Amino acid sequence: MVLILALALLLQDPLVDLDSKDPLVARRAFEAAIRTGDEKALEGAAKTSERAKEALAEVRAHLKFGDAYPPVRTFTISLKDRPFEEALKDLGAALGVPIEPPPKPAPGMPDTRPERISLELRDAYFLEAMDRFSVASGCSLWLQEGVIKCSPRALGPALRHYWRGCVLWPDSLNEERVVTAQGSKKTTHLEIRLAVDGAARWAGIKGVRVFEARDDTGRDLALEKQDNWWGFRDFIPGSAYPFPVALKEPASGATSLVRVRGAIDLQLPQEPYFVELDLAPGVREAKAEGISVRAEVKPAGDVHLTCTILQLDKPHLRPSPSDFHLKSADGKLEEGIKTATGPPNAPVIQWSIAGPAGFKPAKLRIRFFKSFGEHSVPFDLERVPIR
Amino acid sequence: MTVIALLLVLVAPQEGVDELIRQLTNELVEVRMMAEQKLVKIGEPARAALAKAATSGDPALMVRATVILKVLDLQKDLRAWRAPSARITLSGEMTLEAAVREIERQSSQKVQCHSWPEGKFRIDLKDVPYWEALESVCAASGTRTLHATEAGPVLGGTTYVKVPAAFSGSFCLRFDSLRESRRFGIVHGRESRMLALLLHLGWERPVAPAKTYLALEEVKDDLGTDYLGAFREYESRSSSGGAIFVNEPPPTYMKALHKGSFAVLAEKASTMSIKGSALIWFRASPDDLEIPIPAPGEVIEERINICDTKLDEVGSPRLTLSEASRKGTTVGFDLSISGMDLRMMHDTWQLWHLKDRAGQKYVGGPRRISRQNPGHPSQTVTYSFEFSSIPASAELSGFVIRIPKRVVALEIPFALKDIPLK
Repeated sequence: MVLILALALLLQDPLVDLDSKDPLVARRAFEAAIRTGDEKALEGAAKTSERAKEALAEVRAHLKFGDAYPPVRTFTISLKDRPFEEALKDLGAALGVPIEPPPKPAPGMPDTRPERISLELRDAYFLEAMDRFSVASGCSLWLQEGVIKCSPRALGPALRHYWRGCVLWPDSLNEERVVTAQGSKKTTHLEIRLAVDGAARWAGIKGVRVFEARDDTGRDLALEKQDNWWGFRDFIPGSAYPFPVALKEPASGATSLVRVRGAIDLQLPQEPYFVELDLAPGVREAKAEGISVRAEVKPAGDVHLTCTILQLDKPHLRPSPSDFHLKSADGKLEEGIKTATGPPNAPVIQWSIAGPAGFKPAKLRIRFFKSFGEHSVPFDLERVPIR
Repeated sequence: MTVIALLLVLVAPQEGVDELIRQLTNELVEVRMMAEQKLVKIGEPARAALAKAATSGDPALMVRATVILKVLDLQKDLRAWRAPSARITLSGEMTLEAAVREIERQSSQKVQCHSWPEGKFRIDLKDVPYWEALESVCAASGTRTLHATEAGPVLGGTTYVKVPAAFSGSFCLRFDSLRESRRFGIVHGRESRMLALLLHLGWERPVAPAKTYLALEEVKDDLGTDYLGAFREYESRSSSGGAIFVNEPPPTYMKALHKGSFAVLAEKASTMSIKGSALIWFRASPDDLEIPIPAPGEVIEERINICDTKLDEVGSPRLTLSEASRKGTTVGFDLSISGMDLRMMHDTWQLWHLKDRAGQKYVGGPRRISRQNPGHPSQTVTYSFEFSSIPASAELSGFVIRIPKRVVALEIPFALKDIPLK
């Protein structure tokens, strides 16, 4: 009997767990299905399961976008009554990112840093692990230029929806009535914020779609037509970007949105190709669709880059710091430390790249892309208060 | 020899433009300055020769000719918008297109319409100002609504809608919209409400006002609810950092005037009436105000000229620099302004910088403002400045305030009634 049960468990389709009511089991099955990458099995399961459909889209996105959409890691961390500073180190080691502990309070000021931390994380995404640590410690953690910063200030409660390398949360409900001599018009927008962990090279935004939206009186609020005017987003890791989602007007007695489900359609680059510029004295230039890059070695050894955006109506063509590497004469690639000058959405961006001490750059390797494709980040928000 | 040369220049009768342009490179500064003044006085007839000089290849001549051309441009702009409003006379039965074409002919101004409606109507206008004539033909036609836009008047829609508006000479102030908004912050569960008013100030000919300000005196609904306090409270608590004289705006036919408030409209109110003034300031001199940095203990005073539309001086606010100090890389001083309508400087940013003799600019701002009281021109305001990171070697030549040395100020009172709230 036991043998039969064990055999049955072994033969059981692992994709069944994709729709498990236990979110942890569903998450694990979801990531396992993406890692396995069995498109045929997922195609079959996708006929009846939304989660299988989403996993299939992820498998295909990883294949299609390659390095621009790398595999997503999950983290399992167990901290039992650990001193705060030790716990921060453990978290940093697990996530593979240095953490700057919060500064000691000024003399005479109360020390609000926690003494000890207990936290159990299983298969958490990167940004989720940071948030969960924040909630457990009462400190805010945020990602800034490759370092996790920490301050002894509690993170506000938020209905956070974690989606692999992204986190989304509803920030505000905005209702507006515009009265003109011609009449009045009402609009309602749910502003969703999106933050990314920086692993994927998101390039731009195509739009927002709403599949389902209901308030607690049962009124259907879903609107097919969205504003879909999107300005430039540079997707700096840790920064939160607003996405207004147009909804129908909630009922006057409604106090919450029972469910808002949809997707943010983003752009990712594909078909990368590389151009190398000799870092000899003088100015060198490389051009690609919509971009021109000029490189110049400065006397101090750092490389100055001037990227001119030639097609301002195509913000997704804008290069990202990860598109530039220094290359030594023996072919060693180095990311270097990049310092930007000016606002990220300026038509001309300037970066200074400095390699580590002793590294002699011979060439600048630039990654350009032949085309851009779409990929969606789904959101599913429940019980969103609106009054 | 030098004195004789100067005398010859001074007594020379009616030099030609070419001769004056030659004098722009004379070794004597007095000769150059006089030639500059004469060329400005000659005005447009000197433009072609000055434009040629500005591309001559002689650096000194190019700079001086360009400066004069800038003055001529400014004078041209001033002449354009100070011209009196066109008076329109129109009578008979005609289509909207025919009526508007006639208004265009009499005013020399373009009017756009997305599509001309068919059908004729009767109109009888005699010596009517431009904006009122346009409104009248739209009303008589019943097929299009007049809009003041940045590109000029536009006739839009498919029917005539009476928009609350006020006319004054070549200006037209029109109600655009009231925006009532509610924001519920989900993370902290906080609600905030706003009521914003948007008016469009249109003019007959394209101009580039350096700064506008909407001064409200009365905002009431038909139930008697008074909203003025809510608008004033919002203004005292908010700042959007609008630019003044910073980026020279291109000429336009319309400026949107915005005013926010924390007011909530009374539920049963159906109309609103608004009284106030639109204040506009125009640049009347190409140069910004530059005051030398005083030595410790010294006080330096400068004035700017405020003019009316006839370019007659109506005020000369005083700007005083004092309490100067330089410690290490930090330069500090106080700037007191008195006699100026501070609404001209309301909601501004990047208005100040220091300049050294090498032409380097150092940007900074006031660390403290002693009094900011828009609407009370008689009061004095003192800004305490502190510019940091000034190299010890920098020889500071002046403190530049991006306000023109000469400004034309205009106030257009208005009263808008029956603004719909539903």
